[in-house]
Amino acid sequence: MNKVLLIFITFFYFNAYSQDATTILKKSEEKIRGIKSSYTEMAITIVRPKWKKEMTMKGWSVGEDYFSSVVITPVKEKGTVFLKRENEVWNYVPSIERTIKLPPSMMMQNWMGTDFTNDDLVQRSSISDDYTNTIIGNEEIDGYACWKIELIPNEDAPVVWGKLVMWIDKTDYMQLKTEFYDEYEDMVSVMTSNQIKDFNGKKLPSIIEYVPLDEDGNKTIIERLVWQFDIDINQRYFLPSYMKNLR
Amino acid sequence: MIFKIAWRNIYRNKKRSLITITSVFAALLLIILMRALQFGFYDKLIETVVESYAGYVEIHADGFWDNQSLDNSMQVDQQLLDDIQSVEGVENIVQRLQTFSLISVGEKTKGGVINGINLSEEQKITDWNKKMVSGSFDLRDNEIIIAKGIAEFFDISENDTLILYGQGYRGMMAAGKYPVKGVIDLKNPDLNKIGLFMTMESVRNYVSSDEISTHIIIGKEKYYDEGKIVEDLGLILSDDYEVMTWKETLPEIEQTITADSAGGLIMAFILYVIVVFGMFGTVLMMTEERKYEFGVLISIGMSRIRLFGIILVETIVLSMAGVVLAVMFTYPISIYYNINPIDMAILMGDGAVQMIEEMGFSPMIPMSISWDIPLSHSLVIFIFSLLISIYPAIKISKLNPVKSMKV
Repeated sequence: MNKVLLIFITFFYFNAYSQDATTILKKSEEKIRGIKSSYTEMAITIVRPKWKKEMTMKGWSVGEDYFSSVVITPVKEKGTVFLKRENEVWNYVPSIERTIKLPPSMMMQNWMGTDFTNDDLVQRSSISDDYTNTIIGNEEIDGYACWKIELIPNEDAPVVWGKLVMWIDKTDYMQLKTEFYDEYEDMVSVMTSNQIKDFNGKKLPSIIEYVPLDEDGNKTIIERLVWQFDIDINQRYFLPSYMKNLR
Repeated sequence: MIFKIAWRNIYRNKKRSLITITSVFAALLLIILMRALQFGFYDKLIETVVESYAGYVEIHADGFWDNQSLDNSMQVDQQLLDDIQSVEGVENIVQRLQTFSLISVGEKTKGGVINGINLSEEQKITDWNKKMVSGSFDLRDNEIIIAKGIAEFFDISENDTLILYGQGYRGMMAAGKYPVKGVIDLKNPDLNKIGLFMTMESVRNYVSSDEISTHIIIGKEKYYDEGKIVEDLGLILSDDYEVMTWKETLPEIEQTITADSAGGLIMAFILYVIVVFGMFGTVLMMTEERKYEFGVLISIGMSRIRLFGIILVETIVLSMAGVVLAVMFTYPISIYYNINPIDMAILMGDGAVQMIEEMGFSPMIPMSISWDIPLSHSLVIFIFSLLISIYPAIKISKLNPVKSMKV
């Protein structure tokens, strides 16, 4: 009888705990995206062993499903637009005046030469539905007390990772670090956040560094220059036909 | 003294000598002509394939060949070009900028390779300007020449516009619209499906870099050994560059030649077997026939070694007579057909010619006039005649004069 009770209690205990982890993740996601929408201006630096490329972009997002970005510099690529609509990615290239819907074969290619793939942009997976989340510890990162949360994708989830480990700080729900693991439990890349700033009253890391571990000396740095939340965004911004007008 | 006797022996039995000489002559004639034709074909093959695209020797930035990305390109300055030009055997140098790209017209898309070329320099190495199907090779900036297969795939021709889309230099995107200036037939089914040509400046602009190249193509002096050029280049170039010959960049050509040449060697081997047994037969008969004579010579005091010397000289003289005749006979033929190439149409019929032409070869195959062929095969015959004379040597050493004179 005692044993049954113990199992019962442990089950509930873990269940409660895992609920908690999902809530934390949801809160932190919401913080980045805004409850309704967000607008950001960012500088992206691609670092390679022999060279570096910098570009600046503007981006608009509504919820999880709609995201649109336009390149401001370098001048040669100005006006290049990437649009995410649900699980589609569209690309507008001004020099050929063409709107292209990226075929599945191009989804695993690099997005604008960065270490992200086009597929990362789409991220059809939802943290609450597609992962089983557990808090596996409490750690401190850069002086912030964090929950260490393990995310294991459910069996039928459309996820390429074998496992994710995230560090989320306990006061402001900032995602300070994420480790990406493949299906063999080997770490393949790390994303770290730092330089916490105040964006319209929200405390958020302004710099994100993404480092793929299989390629030495490669990384992508995203710096947010402007970040606004829950502003009104014209729905046209997320229409493929409007892409050529974005600037 | 030995030579005199040997000569008399040869002269004495004219019929036997004539048969031996003729058998050597005939076999060697066939072998030499066959190999000359084969090697002539290989030379033509190499020339056509290599000079139509790749060049005998190529220089890239180190690591380019394994990972053909623009990020493995190089910046070529005048100093480097001068250094390369100073190497013996180098005749012409030309730079190219090559990059993969998607080609799109209307709803259709396919992959291709853009070649940024320097028009005037390129004509010293390749003959693309003579391969235009329509339009002219005289490219201006932001115009493009497309290979035949691409024109057919998109059903486009001069003055139509196509779109290129791909990766540029160092993370830049590359995209552009270009009007078609002309259509080229590269005489190679594979290259015809992917080949695109623009001026160097246009391609550099397309990939967003002012100064990079991916290839330095070297045209060599005729008959100069490309291996020597590679060796000399290795001495003056730093580790930042890789030097490759057509044998590495087009391994399939070398493999084809090796496979085909092996077939030729088997034929040669069969002919050798025939001629060697022919010679051996003559020597065998001669030894048996002249047992009595040998017996007499030994009993009147001639040393066995001297006697063997005579036989050896006889065999060598007979085989060499055949060899010299064969070489003297085949060389003018080779030279004639080298200057006036053999028209394969006569030998193979029109269907085969059409196939050859589609592969980019002219059906006119010259014979090789390389001295390697007659010399190497003569040497083989010479060695065989030495081996054959072992038989009479053994016979003579074991000869019992008394027994041999009892007929």
